[in-house]
Amino acid sequence: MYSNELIKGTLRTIILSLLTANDRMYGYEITRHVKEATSGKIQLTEGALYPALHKLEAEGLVRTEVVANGKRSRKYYMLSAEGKSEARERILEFNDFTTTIWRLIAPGAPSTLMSWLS
Amino acid sequence: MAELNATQERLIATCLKVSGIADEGLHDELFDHLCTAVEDEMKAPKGFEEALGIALERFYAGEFRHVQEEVYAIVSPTHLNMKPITFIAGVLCALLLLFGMLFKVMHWPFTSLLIVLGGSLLVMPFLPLLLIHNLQKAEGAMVYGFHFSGYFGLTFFALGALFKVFHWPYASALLGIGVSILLLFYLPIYFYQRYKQTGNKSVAIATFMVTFSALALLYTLLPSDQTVGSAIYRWQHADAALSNSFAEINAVHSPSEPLEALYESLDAATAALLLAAGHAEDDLRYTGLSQLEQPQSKLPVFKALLNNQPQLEQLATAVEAYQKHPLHRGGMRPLVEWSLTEDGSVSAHMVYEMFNGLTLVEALQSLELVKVEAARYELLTSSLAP
Repeated sequence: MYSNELIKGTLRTIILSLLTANDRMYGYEITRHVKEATSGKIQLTEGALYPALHKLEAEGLVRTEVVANGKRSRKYYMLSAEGKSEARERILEFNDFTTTIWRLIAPGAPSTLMSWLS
Repeated sequence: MAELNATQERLIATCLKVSGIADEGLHDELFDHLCTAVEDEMKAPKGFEEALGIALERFYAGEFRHVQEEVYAIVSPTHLNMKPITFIAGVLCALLLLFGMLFKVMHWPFTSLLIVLGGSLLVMPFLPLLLIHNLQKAEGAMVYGFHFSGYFGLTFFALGALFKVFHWPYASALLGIGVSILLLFYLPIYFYQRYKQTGNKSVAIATFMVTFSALALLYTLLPSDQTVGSAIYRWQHADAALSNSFAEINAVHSPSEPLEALYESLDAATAALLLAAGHAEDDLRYTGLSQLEQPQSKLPVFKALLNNQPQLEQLATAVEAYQKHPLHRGGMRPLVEWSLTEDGSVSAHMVYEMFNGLTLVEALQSLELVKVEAARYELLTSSLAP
């Protein structure tokens, strides 16, 4: 499990990135996907996820669609045109950030952890 | 995949209802989330109660309402618009106040407009928005106390400063309340928090002492016992010698009719001055004497004489009648500025010029002096008369 500070700083990028890879996702699906993809190292709390999703919605970066599912209704989130461009920027920025941090904490090492390990 | 039955769904819905989720959209979303999470756990396989327990525990320790508050805080229009509005209000207010001060120093027009607009922007949208913004992240009574004391302290202080600049009433009272709140609540809470967080306790204590003392110096702007009342008191005592001379002259000499009329007129002007000073107490109750004695601070004189045409004309008529009387022809020292015309006529404007620029004490002394000198001159001329 990573610290809350690390997750908090990357939550927006994680959500945007997941919505880029998937046409539409609902809240629980995002938490489950993140948990499975990171082998449980990142577990999004609902208290962090939903405010972040609603903020993205309020900013017009994601659109929503409510689909009735029996007695329940499920709210799906999908990227808007602006959201797609924001997602691209965020992912590139994050990649650049991790590279920079890696150079900072391991001077002289290859620019990414993967290439260094290989 | 295990599916919940109607009873289980009702139970989950009750959990959400009890937790205080009021927003329908968020309720539906969280309800679906919780149901799906429970169904997922039940695949393990686990029983419904155990699965619900795990899902609830993971769900922000069961604090659904916290999620709702977070969502409200983030997506409410106030929050989205507040930062830009706060920023714009802050920058505008700083610019207006800065230019207002510059205009005031340079005596350019529109000074008042700039300062009033700047002060209003500070007090009305900026500080309350800042308070709302800060309260959104606040937790605990002390943090609330910190933000509220800061807000009220700064608001009263800003209003006091604005009132002070315009010489409006109760300026110093407002300043006093503002400084007191900042000194007694805001600063101690701020430095207590710093003291708890910092590793260097002695620096925190020293900084507190210095800041506290610096802010306490602002009390020098506040009420002084050197007020209008004390100025009048000082004038009454300082002019005891003049009064004595006046009494001595009148004991040996019966004043002529024009002199009597002049006495009445000067006494009326003195009374008007004292009355205006009494009325001016609301404006100047907290104004220090040093400020009162400055030329620009002549409010009572202005109210009683300079802005009072009948009073000026009455004085001018009495002085002119005195000047034109056979006993007084040739003028006398205190009245020389009023008798520049060859025929000895005195206009209201001349009297105005005489008092323009005088402070309250100087105006009172001037009136008293004219009275004594007029009496003394008449005593002299009558004793020399054949």
